[in-house]
Amino acid sequence: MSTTQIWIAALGTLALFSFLWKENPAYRFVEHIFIGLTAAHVVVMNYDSYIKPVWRDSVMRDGKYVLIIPFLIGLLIYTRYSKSINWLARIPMSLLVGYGVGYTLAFNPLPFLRQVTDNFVKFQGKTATITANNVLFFVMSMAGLAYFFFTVSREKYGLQYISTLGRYTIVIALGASYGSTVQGRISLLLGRMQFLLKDWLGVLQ
Amino acid sequence: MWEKLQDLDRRWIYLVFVIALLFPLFKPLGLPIKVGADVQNFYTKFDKLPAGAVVWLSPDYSPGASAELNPQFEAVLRHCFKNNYKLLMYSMWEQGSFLGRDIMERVAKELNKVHGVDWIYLGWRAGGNTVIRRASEDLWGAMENLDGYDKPLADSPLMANIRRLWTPDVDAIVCFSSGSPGDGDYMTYVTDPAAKEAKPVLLFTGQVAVQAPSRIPVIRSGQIQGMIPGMGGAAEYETLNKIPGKAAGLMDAQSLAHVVILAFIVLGNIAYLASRKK
Repeated sequence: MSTTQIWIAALGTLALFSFLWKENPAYRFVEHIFIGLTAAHVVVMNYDSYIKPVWRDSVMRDGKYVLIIPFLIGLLIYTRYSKSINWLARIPMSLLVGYGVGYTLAFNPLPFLRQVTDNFVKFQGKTATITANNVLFFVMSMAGLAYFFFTVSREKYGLQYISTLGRYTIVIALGASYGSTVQGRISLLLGRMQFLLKDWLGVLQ
Repeated sequence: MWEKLQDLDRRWIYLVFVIALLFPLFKPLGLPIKVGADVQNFYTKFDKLPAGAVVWLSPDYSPGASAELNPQFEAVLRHCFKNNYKLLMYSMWEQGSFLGRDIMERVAKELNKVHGVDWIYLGWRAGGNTVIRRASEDLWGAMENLDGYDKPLADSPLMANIRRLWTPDVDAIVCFSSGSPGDGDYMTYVTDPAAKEAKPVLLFTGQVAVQAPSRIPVIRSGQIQGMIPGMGGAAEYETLNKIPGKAAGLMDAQSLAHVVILAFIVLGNIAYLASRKK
């Protein structure tokens, strides 16, 4: 980054951090700039990534006129603004949904089923720790599933105990996610601090 | 006293937190970095690939995750170049392609690795996971016969024998993921379908810390060979690699910040319980 870019990024960072003190005009100014920049970025990237290669290069330059057909079908989505012909908007939507569902169903079951079959574990491991781990894995998986079992009342057949264990299992998993989230957020803050102290102020080696 | 603590202005907490973060940056504590099982598995299995193995690097993230994933990407990249792996870099995230490219160009220049011979930048193509799906059948077609700098793939000697994102053309994929599309897409459209082939394509991943716990089941099932979780994982990888990087230098601050957060959680709970008793 050039010196000017570093200064803009550093002042922007400080203005955003100023929100920690209290809401203020500097924070709001940078927030609005960010939203405007993001909107402009999306427009430019869409032109550069979709319109330019497909429309300008493939259709106009290379003569692949068949691509005009999906383009026209896509335009039908805008008919929803007219009451008399808004039914036409369902055509591109149905194509998108049909393609999406077909594409997903063709590939998604395989990785999912490999995880299901992995649940069938042998309890006996090479060490006592692995054995204990396998038993815990099985019991807690079943308990977690029982918590989401709605066919019969969870107050009967002993399900109340196993679903309570399932709830604790889920809470432990959420705790692990929370801990990781904290770690991730600190990493982001450290990244900014390193930028301010090293790249901007140059006081850090 | 406990009531006062519960009404403490949050800005005092911010101040203590910032001091805890800044102190180790200026005065490193030298806390040891213990390598976890996930990173160790990643490193060991990845290191076993033969020299000349073709590795597909996929930085699938945006600047928001760069503080965590850039150090991971650089650590794995240096490992690849050290072991003389051949690298293809493609990103399913538009901004990720630029973030990865900047690191790739810098490290390659430093280590005298030549574009088109030792590594190739394939950029980004619109279409998300449909691009990698197509690349698994016809890589050149999916890339429109061009690399990320709009130069013909035919000009790159590296691409002469690589026609598909599939075995045996590609040995491993490393996906640095902060969301979707990411490692799940490689697993669904490339590595799991290729698992029944004689030589599977191995999938490794670097994850932002938030996502790391959700990947444990797929590591356990063997669908992902190893994982680098967050900045801590990057520091562990740098330790194994014996090439000090950005992450290892920040781990003291990370650890101290965690201690401060734990202390505040404990204090907050004590204050809550004490004030409830009254």
